[in-house]
Amino acid sequence: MQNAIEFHQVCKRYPDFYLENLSMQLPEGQVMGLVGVNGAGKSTTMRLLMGLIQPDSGSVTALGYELPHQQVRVKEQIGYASEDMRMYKNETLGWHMRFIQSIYPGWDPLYADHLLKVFDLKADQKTKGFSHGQRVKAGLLLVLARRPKLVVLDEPTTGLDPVAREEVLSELAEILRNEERSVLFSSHNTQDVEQLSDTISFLHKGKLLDSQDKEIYLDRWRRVLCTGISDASNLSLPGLVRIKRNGSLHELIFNQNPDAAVARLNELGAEISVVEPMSLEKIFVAAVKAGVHI
Amino acid sequence: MNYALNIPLIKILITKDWHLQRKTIAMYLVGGLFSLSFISGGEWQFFMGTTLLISALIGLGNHQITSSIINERKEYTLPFIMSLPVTPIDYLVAKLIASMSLFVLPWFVVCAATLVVFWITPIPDGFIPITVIIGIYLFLCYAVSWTVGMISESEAVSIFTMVFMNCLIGPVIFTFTRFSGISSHVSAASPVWNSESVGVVVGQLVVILLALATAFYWQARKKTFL
Repeated sequence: MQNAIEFHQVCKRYPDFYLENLSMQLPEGQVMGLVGVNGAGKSTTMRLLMGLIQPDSGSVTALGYELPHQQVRVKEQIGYASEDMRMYKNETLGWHMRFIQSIYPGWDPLYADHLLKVFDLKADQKTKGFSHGQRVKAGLLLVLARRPKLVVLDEPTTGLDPVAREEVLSELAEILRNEERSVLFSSHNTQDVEQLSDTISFLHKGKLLDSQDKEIYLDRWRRVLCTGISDASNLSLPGLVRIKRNGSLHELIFNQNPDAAVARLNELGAEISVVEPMSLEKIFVAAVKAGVHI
Repeated sequence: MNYALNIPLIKILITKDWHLQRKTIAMYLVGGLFSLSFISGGEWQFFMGTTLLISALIGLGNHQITSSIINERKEYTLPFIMSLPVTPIDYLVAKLIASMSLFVLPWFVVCAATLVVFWITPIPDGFIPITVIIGIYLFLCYAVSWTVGMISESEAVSIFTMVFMNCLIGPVIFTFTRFSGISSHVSAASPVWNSESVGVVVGQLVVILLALATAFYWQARKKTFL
C-alpha cells in the first residue's frame, strides 16, 4: 500500500521548541489521529505537511510529492483546515464557496449544498456573524466539497458544542467511507480520535512517542489494581509506565505485554483485583505524566 | 522553494484583493479628486487642497497596507489563503501586483488630475516638477511600508514605518524646495526639468525598486512562512 504521508527523520528547531527526528507514515485510505498536549508539535507537523515550514533536516512527502518544493501539486489535492484559520469577515459563505470553486476543478456543488443543509449554514450570511461552531463547519464545508484525496484537519472539533461536534464527526465519518481518501487530524479530544482513527500517533514535546494501529495500541495498555506489593518503588516489571499508591492499593499502568506483567505480579504475591483496558484519554494522561517513550 | 509561478492562482488572488478593497479604493479616489476642486480657488484653498490631497494619498496607502497585509495575518485569513495551491513566492507576487495596482491606479489618477488642474488654471506650471517629486515620494512611502509589512509580519513595526515615512513628508518637501534647481523655477510659466529635479525622481525610483527587490529576496529565504 502506498503512503499518503511520509515523514522521515524530520527536525525543525525554534528558539523554544524542537521537533526531533519525526518519522511516521500514513498509508493511503487510512485515518490517523494525532494526539498531544498544546506545544507537542501537532500544528508544526501539519504546517510541514502543507509546505509552510521548511524542515532543518529530513524529508516530508505527501501523495508522492516532496515538500515544500512541490507544495502546489500537493495542495491541489489536500483539504486543510486549522483552528487558527478564518474566512474574510465581510464576505458571505457563498462568496467563499465560489472562490474555492474557482480554484478546485473537483468542487462538488451538490455535496456543498448537502453540507450546507447538514451543517445548517446559510450561504448568504456574512462570516463575521458566524458563531465558532458555524465557522468550523463552514471551514469544513470548504475543505470537503473540493473532494480532496488527503484531508488534514488541525483540531476540527475544539470548542464545539455537543450538537455541532456530533454533526462534524458524523460528516467526517461519512467521508471516511471513501477508501481512497486519507485523513490526518489532530485533536485534544481523545474520544474523537478513538472514534475515527485507524492509527494513533502520539506527539509529546516535539517527539513522536508512538505511531501505531489503534486497536493494537489500545490493546497494549492495561490498568492493574492490586495489593500486597511490599516495595513498589523498586518494582521492575516489563512495560510498567506508572505506579500510583493509595493506601495499600496500588494502581499500575502497563503499556506492553500486560499478560506477562500480570503473571509476574502473581509470582511476586500481589493480589490483583482489577485488570482493565484503558481509554485513549487515560492512556494519553498516563503517557504524558510519565513522559514515556514507548 | 519552487519558483515556477502558479499564474492562474496568482490571477485569482489578485482578483480577490481587488474585490475586497474596491470600496476603500473608490472612497480615497473620490476624496483625492474632491480635494483637487479646492486647489485653484485661491491661496488658502490651494494649501487646503494640497493638504487634503496628500492626506488622501497617505490614507490610501496606509489603509491598503493595513487591510490587505497586516489584517491578513491579524485576522488569520492568511492560513486560509496559504492552504490553497500557492507557494509563499506566488503569494508575494500576487500581493505585489494587487497592492501596487490598487495603490498605483488611484495614485496615478489623482496625480494626473493634479497636473491637469495645474495646466488649466492660473497656477504656474513651474510647480509641476516639485508636485511630481512629492507624488513619487508618496509612492516611495507606500513601497517601503509595503516591504516592511511583508518582511516584518508585525503590526507594530509596520505602523511605525508608515508613521515614520509620513512624518518625513514635511522635511522632504522642505529639503527639495531648498534645491536651487527646483525652487528657482517654481514660479516659471512652464515646467523646468533639470539635472536636480530629474536626479531626485530617478533616485526615488531606485529606492522604490530596491525596496520591492528586498521583499522578494527576504521572502525567498524564509524557512517558516506561518
